[in-house]
Amino acid sequence: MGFDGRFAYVVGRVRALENRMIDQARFNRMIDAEGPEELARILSETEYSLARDLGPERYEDVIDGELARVHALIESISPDPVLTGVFRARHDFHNMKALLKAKLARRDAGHAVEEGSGVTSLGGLDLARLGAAADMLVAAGDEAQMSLGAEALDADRAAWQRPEDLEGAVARAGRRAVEAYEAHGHDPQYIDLVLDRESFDYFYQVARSRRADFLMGLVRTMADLTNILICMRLRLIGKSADFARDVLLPRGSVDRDALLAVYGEPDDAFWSFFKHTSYDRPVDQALRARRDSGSLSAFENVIQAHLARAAAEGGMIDMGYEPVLAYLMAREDEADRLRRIFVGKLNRLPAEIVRERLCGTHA
Amino acid sequence: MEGFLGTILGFLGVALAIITPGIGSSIGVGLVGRSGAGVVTEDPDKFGSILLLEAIPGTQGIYGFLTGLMIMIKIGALGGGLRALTVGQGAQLMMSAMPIALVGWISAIAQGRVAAAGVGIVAKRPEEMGKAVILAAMVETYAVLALLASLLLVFSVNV
Amino acid sequence: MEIRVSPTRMELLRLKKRHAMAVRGHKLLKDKLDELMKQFLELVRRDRDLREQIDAKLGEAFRGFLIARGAMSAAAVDAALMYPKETVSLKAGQRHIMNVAVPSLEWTFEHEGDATNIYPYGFAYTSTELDTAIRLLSEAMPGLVELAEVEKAVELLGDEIEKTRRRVNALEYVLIPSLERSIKYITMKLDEAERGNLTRLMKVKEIVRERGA
Repeated sequence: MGFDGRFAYVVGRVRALENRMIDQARFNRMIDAEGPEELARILSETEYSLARDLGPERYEDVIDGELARVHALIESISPDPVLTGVFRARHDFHNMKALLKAKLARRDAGHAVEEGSGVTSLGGLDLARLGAAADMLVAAGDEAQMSLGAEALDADRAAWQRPEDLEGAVARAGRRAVEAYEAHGHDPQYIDLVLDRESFDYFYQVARSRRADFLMGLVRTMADLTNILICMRLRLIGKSADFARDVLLPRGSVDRDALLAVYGEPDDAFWSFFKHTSYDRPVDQALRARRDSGSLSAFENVIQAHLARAAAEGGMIDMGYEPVLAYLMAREDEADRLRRIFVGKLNRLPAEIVRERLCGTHA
Repeated sequence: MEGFLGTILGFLGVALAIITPGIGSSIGVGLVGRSGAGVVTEDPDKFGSILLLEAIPGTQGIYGFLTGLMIMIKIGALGGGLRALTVGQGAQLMMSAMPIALVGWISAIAQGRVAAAGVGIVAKRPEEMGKAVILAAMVETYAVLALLASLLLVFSVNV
Repeated sequence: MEIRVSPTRMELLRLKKRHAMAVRGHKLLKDKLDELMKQFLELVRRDRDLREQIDAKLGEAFRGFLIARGAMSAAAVDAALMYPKETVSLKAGQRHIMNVAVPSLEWTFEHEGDATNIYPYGFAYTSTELDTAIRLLSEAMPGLVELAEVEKAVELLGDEIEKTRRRVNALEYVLIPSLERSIKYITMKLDEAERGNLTRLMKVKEIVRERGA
């Protein structure tokens, strides 16, 4: 889909909105700000006007408020909100995760987790409905778990014809997560693992149903790069290849079985696996960054910078969903940088450390 | 009967020359217009530049209309003295309209896309508007060439 | 202290016994105090070492958390750590230092031996920094439990030392001097009575001699 005139209006609007994003000069001013109050003041000069009223302490609300506003705006003017807002779905998958874990922690471990903690307002789905779905899943996990099986599979097949049914996709993913949780002896980690995998599957299904080549490529790259990070972390923690099989994300272009086959090898042998993939360069740079700085976050930052670049390529395409997608991802990225600066400033970290933590991702 | 068919072919030429570039131009202008509306929503000051860009894909429609007008004059459709054309003359006139009919149609859409992308330039860097206009205007070359060819052909037909 | 004792020999005998006992008790208590002090100082030293270690470790862990908090939203961190995978069972017992009951804590990870099992979250949307922070916290755990144990022991021993010192002081500066004073008073009274008797006897003797003469 090289050119899609349906997106003319939203692309034009996005091009104008891109101007108002925080540029490097302003980021620098923020990093060098005297304290949180000045930071909030600088921020309130931008689109984040809430910063003036809420102040630096409630920076999460400021950032989330702005992101939610942008998502809602694009959704209202996009001819295909499912496609342009596909990555917003990750917040919905996250909410399902938080809701399920809170309910299961209360049911099985006796932890009194506060209602609604860990839930974000950034998702597109109604939280009350998600909560009700999670309630049902947790209740079903007790007795009716078996009966859900066969009939649900049919529902799955029918549902994939219609990927815009995000609610259905999240609920289904939630059910699989609860099943995995029960199957692994009430292991909460499996809720995260299953929902993470399902979220990538959802991205893929949306891309497939729209024949959206750019998105498809982006999802593959995201899955691959995230898998590289996952391998690095799991190998460091000391997890087995069997466990890694449950963690690695689907829909990447790198063959998972081949990757798992070399998973147990020593560092050099393992990383040379990527020489034969298209991730030769990022892996190489990341390894060098890690060697030079001795910190894992350096590795992570390099990989994430590559991801941001892959997403930004959407902005190069003149007309279609791609620039919109790229804009939304850039806004999420911007929010991420702001969060880092706020955390740094509120805790009185020196400007160099804040810059180091930031510039790694956005050199 | 003979003269009747020739005249119909001549009219067909007029219709083609006006219809297809017109369609192309309206698609092109519409595209730029929608894209421009997005920018103007956020930034009303840019209306002037956007309007200029929007007008560029509109020229093909004018070229088509011009060619059509020339054929009309040729066959005397203006002023009431409609001439009877032979089939050969009618077909010649119709074929003369083809360059602008096809090139005008396609190039207007292509130009619309370039201009819509140019809207992005104007949104980001208003000072670079000239470049956006030049990029879009490059497509114009081929519409102008087609117009020239069509007009020369029309004039060359002996009626 | 006022002395209200009847100056009798019986009383004197009783007081002397009490005094001897008080002196012995004082010596014993003093020995106990010395030993307590020794134990106490050892614990305090251990406490200080532990505290330094823990402070360093926790400081590092919190810095890790801080950076993880920057890399992830509050909601993401909350959800990641909402349902911990690892459970620690803690058994509280008692042990005695110089007859002072101090707590002894025993603890075990439920998934004993698998140090890779402390990360209760998924890896696709979390940051490496979180792994580091969790690992550091988990490493600080044994030290934290021991620190709790030692701090409580120090507190209890401190109480005991204070109590013992109060007793030693009470014996040394109150009871023993007052007993000594009482003994002295009775002895004096008895001596005086003795002298009175003697004088009376001499007087009687003189009168008898005068009569006889």
